[in-house]
Amino acid sequence: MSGTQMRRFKGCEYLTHRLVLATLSGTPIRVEGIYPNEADPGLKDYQISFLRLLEKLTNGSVIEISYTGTSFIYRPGNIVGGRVEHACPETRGIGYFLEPILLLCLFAKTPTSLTLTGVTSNNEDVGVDILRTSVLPFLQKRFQVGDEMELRILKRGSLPNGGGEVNFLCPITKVSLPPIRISESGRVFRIRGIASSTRVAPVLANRLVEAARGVLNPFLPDIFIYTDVRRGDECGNSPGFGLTLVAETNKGCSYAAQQCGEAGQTPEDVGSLCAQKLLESIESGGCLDQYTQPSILTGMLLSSEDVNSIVIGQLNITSELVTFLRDVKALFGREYRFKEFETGHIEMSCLGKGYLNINRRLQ
Amino acid sequence: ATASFIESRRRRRRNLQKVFYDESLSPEQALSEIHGEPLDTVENGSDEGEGDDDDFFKPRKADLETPTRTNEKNSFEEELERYNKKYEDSERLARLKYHFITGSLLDTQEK
Repeated sequence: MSGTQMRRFKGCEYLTHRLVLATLSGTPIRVEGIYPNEADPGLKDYQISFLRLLEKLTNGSVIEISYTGTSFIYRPGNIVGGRVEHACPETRGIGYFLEPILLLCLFAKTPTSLTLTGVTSNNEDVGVDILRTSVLPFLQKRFQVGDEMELRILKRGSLPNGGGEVNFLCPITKVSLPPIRISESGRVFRIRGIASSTRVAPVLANRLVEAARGVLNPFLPDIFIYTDVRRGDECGNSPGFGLTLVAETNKGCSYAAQQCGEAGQTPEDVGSLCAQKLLESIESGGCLDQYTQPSILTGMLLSSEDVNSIVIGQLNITSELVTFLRDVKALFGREYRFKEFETGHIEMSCLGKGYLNINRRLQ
Repeated sequence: ATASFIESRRRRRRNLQKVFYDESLSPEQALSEIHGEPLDTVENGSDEGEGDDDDFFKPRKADLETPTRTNEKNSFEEELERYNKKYEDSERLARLKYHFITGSLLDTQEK
């Protein structure tokens, strides 16, 4: 591993996934040009926190940050997993830290029990509800990792003071992930959701539900939105509310949307906006939504040596995807292939690496 | 000739493999190419058939100035207004029903 040539990157877009890919491939990386022209140059607190989290999940990792913080070197070690606790800064949501490492923990030496504290939902990062109700079930089903992969929301924490707490349990895999081929998204047959609130009147959650149902009911009668009202010790320090919606299709795909309320926003506006975002995601089509996409594409790369393919919608083609694909090429030497349909959907295919868990303990 | 040129330009624009992995394009510029953002405002005159494929994919001033989707930071009110406007269109809503199982079944029953 130490003999692998170091890769250089400029800029820190999509840094978390780049670090995870570097860890999985065992490739040391040097990242330069991190916000060099800003008034506060260098790595942000949440990026440093993610590096610390990787350091806790691995053994032998070396992180060298330059004096100004505008460049750093990361030499990955072995993924060990185990019981890990980490406090995330309130500047980013817990999803920012948790989403990239969902698959990483599968390749650890021992099963992982990761406890993260911080902000459970915000409008910038994937919320824990989406991870629990959309991303994890999709991974469990497609990569056959079983029900042991679980996310428990112990406390909900809203902006600005956070105080939420989640526990992520992940088994290890002993074989390569199976390849996936999904070409049809199917049609939506049910919508589920969670309207959550912390330290506010319970009626706000009900108003969120009513507003979302008002938008979605003309399309589908099978809608059930749970309310999760947290008070006292069950939640963090700040008041807040938010809605997460997940639409499931008859072909096993799902689309998710989330929206959190901020000061001055009414639950009606937040609920209807969330429902309309879900409609946009459904309208865009494809077999993945923006939240599931990074994990699935990483899984396709690591799967057994067979052809993987998946169809994505136009809405999912973002600059993050471009950066991710270039990072995959730099660190794994693999390129995805693209085929565009008349509908605007794109089929992405790649050959799996047949990645095995080299860290696991032999028995 | 114009039609064939437009077709070839469209084909080249859709050369996704190249756009995705061309390091000379920043991710935002690659995104503009993929989504077919304006290509007509090339700095040096028209863009009619000049240069080879490599020139075509080189970053241009127009691309650098084109705001991309990911860089847009709309306020909540702007975002709400945009979505409300988008989904008040009855034709769009009718088309959207195709994506729902019950919606299509109801349409069939009505017929």
